Amino acid sequence: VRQIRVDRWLALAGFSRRESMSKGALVVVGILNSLRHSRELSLLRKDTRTSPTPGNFVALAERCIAFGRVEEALRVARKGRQLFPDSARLSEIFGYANRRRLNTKISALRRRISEKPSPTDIGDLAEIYLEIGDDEQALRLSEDLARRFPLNERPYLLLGQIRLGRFLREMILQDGQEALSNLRRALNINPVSERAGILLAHLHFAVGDLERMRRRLERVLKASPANEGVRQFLETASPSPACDPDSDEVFEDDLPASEWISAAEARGCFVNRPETFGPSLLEELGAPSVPALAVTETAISRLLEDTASVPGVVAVAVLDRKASPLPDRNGTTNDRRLADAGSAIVRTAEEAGRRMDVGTFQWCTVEGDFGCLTVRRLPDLHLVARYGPPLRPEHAPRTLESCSDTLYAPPREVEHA
Amino acid sequence: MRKVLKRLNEHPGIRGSLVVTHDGMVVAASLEQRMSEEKVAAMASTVVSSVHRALEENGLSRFHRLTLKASYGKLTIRDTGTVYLVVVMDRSFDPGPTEIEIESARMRIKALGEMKVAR
Repeated sequence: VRQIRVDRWLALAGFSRRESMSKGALVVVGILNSLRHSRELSLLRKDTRTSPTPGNFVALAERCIAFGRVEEALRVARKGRQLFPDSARLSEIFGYANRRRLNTKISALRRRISEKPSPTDIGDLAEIYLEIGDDEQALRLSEDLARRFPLNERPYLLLGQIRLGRFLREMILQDGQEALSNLRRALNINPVSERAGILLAHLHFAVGDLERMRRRLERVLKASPANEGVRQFLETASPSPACDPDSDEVFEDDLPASEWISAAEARGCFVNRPETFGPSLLEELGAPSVPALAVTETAISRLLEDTASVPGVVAVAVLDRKASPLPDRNGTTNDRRLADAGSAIVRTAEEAGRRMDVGTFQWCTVEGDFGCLTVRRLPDLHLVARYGPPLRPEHAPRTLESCSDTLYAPPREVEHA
Repeated sequence: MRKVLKRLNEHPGIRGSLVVTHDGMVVAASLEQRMSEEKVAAMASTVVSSVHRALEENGLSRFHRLTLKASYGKLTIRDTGTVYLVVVMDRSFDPGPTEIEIESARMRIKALGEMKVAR
């Protein structure tokens, strides 16, 4: 049967069996490999569709990279990151695939900048880093650009975009305030900047400052009347009569815009969901556009059991999204003392991350005479584990993340597993 | 001590380092320009003292190494015996290759602390 199949493929590829066995063999191997790859990928795609867990997204993206389908890997990793923004593995794959795609461009720009720095090249490089997901590098380059060319609009626009993206993802006050000041500065340099106007309107919209948002969008529309997205959004979102967009009467100086941002941060949630903003640039900002999945009780018990069964793990506990210990569960161990220690660590680390401008807490590993303790943040929970050898502290965050895969599988599959 | 910290900060990916006592007092700090020394020092000492307390209250002994990963940065705290060495790093920074440098800075700070105690 295999021989018949090979002959058929040879015929399809335009080779007669006798004359082209040597040339044809390579083609056939190639065809068979690509068939095997597509079959494997279609199975993985199906798994990801039916059970969208971080593990399935990672498996699909990794295979796509292995088979040279970098663009597809990027799409998969991007989608996965929207669903699971805390997944370290997905972020790594996303960064890797993007870097692989843009490596040549990055080195060419770096060479040009070292020879003769220009605002266009530095700005382009910062944008590439932003696309890769390396906010820190993009931030550094934009700050450098602002220092070298302070009258250029671009660095402030970039700084505003990066800070706004962070604010919409993590709601850290400093990011919101810096987004506001940088975007305003960009608009001072170029008052008709459409992009700066839309980004600023997005910020006002998320924190509930609708009056400023409406006026800002009206200004955008005045400068670019062809922007249908903004027009439609304004028609549906703000039915109140339009006033003169050039009037700054209650615009810049009434209740400061920064207070709206502080209020949102203090409340811990946005007034309007950022993804519902019409002329959205959300994908460019890298903000999650899909709400987190619901976690069931069965899945939490399964998570505790799975983590406890990892070799080396001594005790496990689960905390809720706000790091409060969850009640004990029948048949599973939710170590109370470990939960209390984990809860205190998460709260301190959250506060430290926000204040030190390093973002929100992802994981923490503590080593002492008692062994090791790792707290891992998952989309709706925190998982705490105390362990010793063979589990090593440098591998623990990843191991705990992979234990969480069953949390997001449909209940039927969890039961089956 | 500042010299040790400055030398450590020369490694790519390291954004700054500081030395704090077990109860959270800052002894020396050297951070990149963009980071507020006051804020980072205050938060590092809060982390040290709070984690210390949380572990003690729950029957766990003192920690000698802590690594914290946030969405845009990493923080590692090492016990030198008398004080803690705190290093702030980039998010994507893999401390593996620079582990030796961090460890040698820890040893030098430990030696400095012991010299002072001996005097």
